[in-house]
Amino acid sequence: MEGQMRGVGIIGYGAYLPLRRIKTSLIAAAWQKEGKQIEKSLGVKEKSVAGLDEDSVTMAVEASLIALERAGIDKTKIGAVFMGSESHPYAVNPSTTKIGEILGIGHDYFTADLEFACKAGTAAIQIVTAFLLGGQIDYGLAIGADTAQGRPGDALEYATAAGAAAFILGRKQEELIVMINDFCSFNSDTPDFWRRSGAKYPSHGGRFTGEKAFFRHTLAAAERLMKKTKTKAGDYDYVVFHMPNSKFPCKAGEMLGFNQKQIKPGLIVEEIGNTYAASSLLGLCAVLDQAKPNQRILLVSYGSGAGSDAFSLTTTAKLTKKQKLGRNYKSFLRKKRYIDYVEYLKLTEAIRG
Amino acid sequence: MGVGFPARIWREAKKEYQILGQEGRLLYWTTIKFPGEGYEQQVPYLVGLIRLDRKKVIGGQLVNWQGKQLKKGMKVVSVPRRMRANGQEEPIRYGIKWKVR
Repeated sequence: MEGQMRGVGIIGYGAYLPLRRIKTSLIAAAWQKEGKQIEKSLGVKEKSVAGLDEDSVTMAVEASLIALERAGIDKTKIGAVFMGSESHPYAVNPSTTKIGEILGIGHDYFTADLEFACKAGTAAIQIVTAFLLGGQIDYGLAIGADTAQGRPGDALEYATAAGAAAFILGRKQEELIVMINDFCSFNSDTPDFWRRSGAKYPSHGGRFTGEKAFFRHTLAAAERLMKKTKTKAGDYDYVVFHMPNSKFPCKAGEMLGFNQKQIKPGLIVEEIGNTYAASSLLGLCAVLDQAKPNQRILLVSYGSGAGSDAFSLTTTAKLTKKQKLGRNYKSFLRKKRYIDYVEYLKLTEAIRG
Repeated sequence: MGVGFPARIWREAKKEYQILGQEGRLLYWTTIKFPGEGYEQQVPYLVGLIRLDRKKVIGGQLVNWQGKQLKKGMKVVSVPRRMRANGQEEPIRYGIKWKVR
């Protein structure tokens, strides 16, 4: 297989979504806006909301437990933990050591927190893969998790959501359920979306977040990867993008030559919103839950500021058995509880008692 | 030593993490309407007694219980959660709560 990275890949994966949801129409009604129009324009019907006692660390642990169950390894053999988020609970004090301690993986692991907006989770996968390729570790844990923040009344408020995805990666061929064939990254200094140190909510450049930001980087990373791996859109069974809304990933897919059959299984934003660093990774979890052996997946994340990571993946025959272990992504969609806008403001700490 | 004191958080949390992911049975529960320090934003919340095995019964806060008809003997599972709010500047105390299945 082209560019196959000497038997490195995924051996376990796990998704986590909190219980609560709020509908786009309720948020719109609070601001006297037309809910149906916004829902249609964004392609987001509802979004996930973390509980007051949940944060990126707790959600990352929940996803990691499922990934560990699927991987079936001795957790003390994990030699690296990297987590990407825009909502690490501390500005200084790593999320990963709390995750490592709660999971009980011991003390012997390489680790750091990562930030690159919504592509920090895929950056974690790249770093863990590099440690595996270098022979420094046998297994690593890569996580994308966020409790995304949107300013009340701002356009972002309709989509910013909470969730986590975790991947155990390894380098024993016989354990791999997904092979990482190759990956690449395309980056530039683009001020499309930012949150200054100490600010509670992010700011953004409105329509500047489209063509010059999301599309430029997503398309460039995907095109570079397909050139590097000598593949084209038709060679893939699935494609998963970062999902700030429904329209952007669909349009990017069409521009690259993908069809709806390839795009739809990983397009999850309509029911959960934009989970930032977990977005494309949760899309990947949704695809892995249904993929068959020897199917190809193109994964392309996007992080504001800006950059895209693209991965060429191939499932193995071992995936089918692992799909049956642990909680699957769709089970989180079935178990949910709707909240109103006041409870939403309370849970996001926009109002306090 | 205050509840937010780093050494206390470090000592207490390590013991709790050991029961992460364990299942138990709900024995008794009550609703807290007048909370302890750091739990003000979570009111009302439930605390319960959970039987882990024949010898061990443990107390803890219940999560994901709204809208459910709680019954003695219901299965619960331990999940990671933030335990209390210690203000914007104190360290975060993570621990275990019990999710109603």
